[in-house]
Amino acid sequence: MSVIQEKDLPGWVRLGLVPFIQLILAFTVAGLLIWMMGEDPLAATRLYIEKVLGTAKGLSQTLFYATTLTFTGLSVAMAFQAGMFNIGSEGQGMVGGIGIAIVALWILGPMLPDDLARSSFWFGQILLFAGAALFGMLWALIPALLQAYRGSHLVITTIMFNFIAGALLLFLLKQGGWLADPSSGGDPKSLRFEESLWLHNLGDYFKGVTAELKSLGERPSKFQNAMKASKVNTSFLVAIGLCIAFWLFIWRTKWGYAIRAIGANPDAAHYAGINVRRTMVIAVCLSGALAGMAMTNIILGSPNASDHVLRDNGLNGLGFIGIAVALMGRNHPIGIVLAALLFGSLYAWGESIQLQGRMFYKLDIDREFITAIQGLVVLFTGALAYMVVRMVLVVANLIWGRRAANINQGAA
Amino acid sequence: MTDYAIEMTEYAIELSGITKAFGPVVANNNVDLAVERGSIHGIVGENGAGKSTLMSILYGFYTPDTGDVSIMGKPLQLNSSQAAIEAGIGMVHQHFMLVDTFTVLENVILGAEGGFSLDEPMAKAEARLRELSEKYNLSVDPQAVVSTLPVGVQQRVEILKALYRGADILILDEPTGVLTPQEADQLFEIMRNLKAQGVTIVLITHKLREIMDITDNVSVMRLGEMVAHKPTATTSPEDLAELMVGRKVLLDIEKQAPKAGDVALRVDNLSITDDRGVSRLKNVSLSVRRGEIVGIAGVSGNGQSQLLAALSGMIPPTSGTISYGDAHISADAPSTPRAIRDLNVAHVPEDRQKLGLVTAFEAWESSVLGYETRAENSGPILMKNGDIHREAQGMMDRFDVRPNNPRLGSAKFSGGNQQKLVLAREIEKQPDVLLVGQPTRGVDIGAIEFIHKQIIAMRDADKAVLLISVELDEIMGLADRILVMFDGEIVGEVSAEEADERTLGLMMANAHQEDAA
Repeated sequence: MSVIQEKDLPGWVRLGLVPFIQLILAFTVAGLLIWMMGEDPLAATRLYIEKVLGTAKGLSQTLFYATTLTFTGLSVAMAFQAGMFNIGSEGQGMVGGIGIAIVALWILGPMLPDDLARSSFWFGQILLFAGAALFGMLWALIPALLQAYRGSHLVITTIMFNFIAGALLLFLLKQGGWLADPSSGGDPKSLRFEESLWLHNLGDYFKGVTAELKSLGERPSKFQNAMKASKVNTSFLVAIGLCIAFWLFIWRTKWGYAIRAIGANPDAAHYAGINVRRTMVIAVCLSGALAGMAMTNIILGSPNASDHVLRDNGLNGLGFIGIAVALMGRNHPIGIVLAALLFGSLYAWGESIQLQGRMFYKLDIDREFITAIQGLVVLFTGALAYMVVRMVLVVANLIWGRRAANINQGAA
Repeated sequence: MTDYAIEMTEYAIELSGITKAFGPVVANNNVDLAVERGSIHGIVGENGAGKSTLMSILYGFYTPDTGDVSIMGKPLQLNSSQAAIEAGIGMVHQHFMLVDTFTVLENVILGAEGGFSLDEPMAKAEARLRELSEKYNLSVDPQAVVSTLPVGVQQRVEILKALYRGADILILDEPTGVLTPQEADQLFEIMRNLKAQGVTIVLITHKLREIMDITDNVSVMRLGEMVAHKPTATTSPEDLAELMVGRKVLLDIEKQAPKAGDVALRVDNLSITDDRGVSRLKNVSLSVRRGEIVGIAGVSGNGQSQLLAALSGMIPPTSGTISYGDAHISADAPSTPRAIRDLNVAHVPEDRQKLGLVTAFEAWESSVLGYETRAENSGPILMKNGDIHREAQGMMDRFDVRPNNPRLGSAKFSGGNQQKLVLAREIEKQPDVLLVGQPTRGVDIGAIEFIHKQIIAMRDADKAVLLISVELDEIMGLADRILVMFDGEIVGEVSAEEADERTLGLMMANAHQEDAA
């Protein structure tokens, strides 16, 4: 009469089936909402499958958003490993954007001699990422110090720092000087970053490949043609590299050991001789650095020329969604990438709904509707996570529990 | 004999065929228990033997999977603690459930206030409380604030609370854990009084001497099953220990005479004042030589924890000096736990769950806690996880940690096995000085024997050992010299030969000076 419990479930059920059912439930409720709005949920589903999952463009949009979400998800997870809740990725991203602007418009502009600044693409790229990381880190440093040495709760201070970051950014963009675009008027933004500083783009690479093939008289494959539209850029590779670095750092180094120790049990960490306060500050600063780097994708990675400016909307909420990504990804890089892909595909869905919904699918839904779907996904995978586990356990016990009992009785 | 049996067929508590499983773990397997009305009944067993589960069933916290419960001859379904209270069962928990800032009276009526205004019930309750105090000889001032009362008196408040709710069956869970021997004697006096007034008492303890002293009958649990019910008069501590563990156990500690050498640890006028300005240690001076075990006895909460924390570098001294050989630590030159470890000082903390292990870590990760940055465990960047894993496996083999699996979560080991893991980590570094706090708290009898042997082996290997324990038997059995702490001060020193329970007990209550005067 053994009862099957959560820990008895095989890995594929816990990590595969359960999240799958949670998503199906979230999408089902979202479908109900669409139906109640008088629209056709099946058309919305078809749009998701055909345009988001079924086209290279949709997938590349997904990857584009997933890149930002991987940065912000890792950011939240880094603080979480140290037992802290950094709600400030959004603000740290904004300030990281200021760092990028300073590097792009000042250090690589008036400050450094032209030949040095433009001598190497990679020199510029490294400076841009470093600037983003450094400024994101600095913005996290103050709340981290307040938490570690004054006991001010990080959740409260980082929320406040999000507002301060927004005000600071707006101030800088309106203030003029070498940063702001004086002609922007009611749309505060920075001067445009030079094209030589933009991140390399997978689409551009495939454009080159297809052009070369054509010049040789060969026909590019369908895939190569489709990939010409890809927005995926070098920051995607950086994000993947950071996932590996995150894993190595957290689970394979003594610093990661210290971070996990203070996260799981600060008293035991103190007993071990780990400097709890300093480790806390380091973890939150690294978290801020990751959030800062998230801005590279948004303001240096997009193929739209008009996007290569710093605006006052910062990460556009992707910093907050990073919290959901980290929670759903269980603060592990692999989980974070998967969750980032899911949420990225939702953003791509919203975009497709707006662009193609009405014309091709007779759907009259605003793209903001995906915010509701995101909410439902968070609800079912986070807040109601245990509900699905219980359902699975009930079914598992009905099928295998009874059979196991029968076997036991047969043996007895 | 027969007449007696007929008269006593009415049991206060009858449990039959109680089974309770938590998933695959069967905490209680077909347990029977019969407690005679108006008797004191002891229940003994190792940690995890199922005593707590059984009592939780009796107090309505858990519903059993199968089995029947009868209270005072009436079959009952106890599915809430409210039902248990109505059936006349009162529970005195190991950790008191009192609101510190309330008066005794307020604590007693808490949850039984009745009505909107408190004035009238308060007056009634006070009258009833005085009546109860008199009847059972439990003198307590109803208007005293609980936090100002000594622990022994707080425990009386807990008992009064149960009686006030009409309990005629009292369950006492490890009641003497926090008491001095003298306070424990007073508690036993109270228990005898209660018994004389017809109250039935169930005493849960792991101290076999208490069972022998006060109980009429005793039940022994092992691995979720009842293995024996006996009248106490027909049994002995050795007999009970063997029943609990399932094999013969050496209760006495065997050791040779010490060969003390140079002073390895010296403390001069150490004082600690905590964050709230409370003086925790007052001018403590002591020394520990190589090849000797110095024991610190005292009732828990008299500054021993602060002493251990200061010696291990976890808190800085407010004044005074700690010296390990030539290294001196003072308020002006504080140290850190890591620096102290580097002086070849190992520390087995009092609370292994809170300090000794990271329960969220796997055992192999916890096996290097405090040593994770050393060259054998970590290169400049990456930790040597393969080596750590192999070494952890070795430690677990040598110290017989079960289950013998370094990949298992630290939280999944029993108290004794967690403690063996911590001891293995600290002892195998072959430190010059070993600081040990409460080495056997919550540890099974079988493991206690092993842990004591390891501590003595350290001493025989010419290491200095400072042992802090609230278990007098342990201190008397292991230590070569015994210091007694009371209210942050060292109030006495006795050699192991001179030490007896009475002397130490009086020192622990700081009564010997008044005696002498």
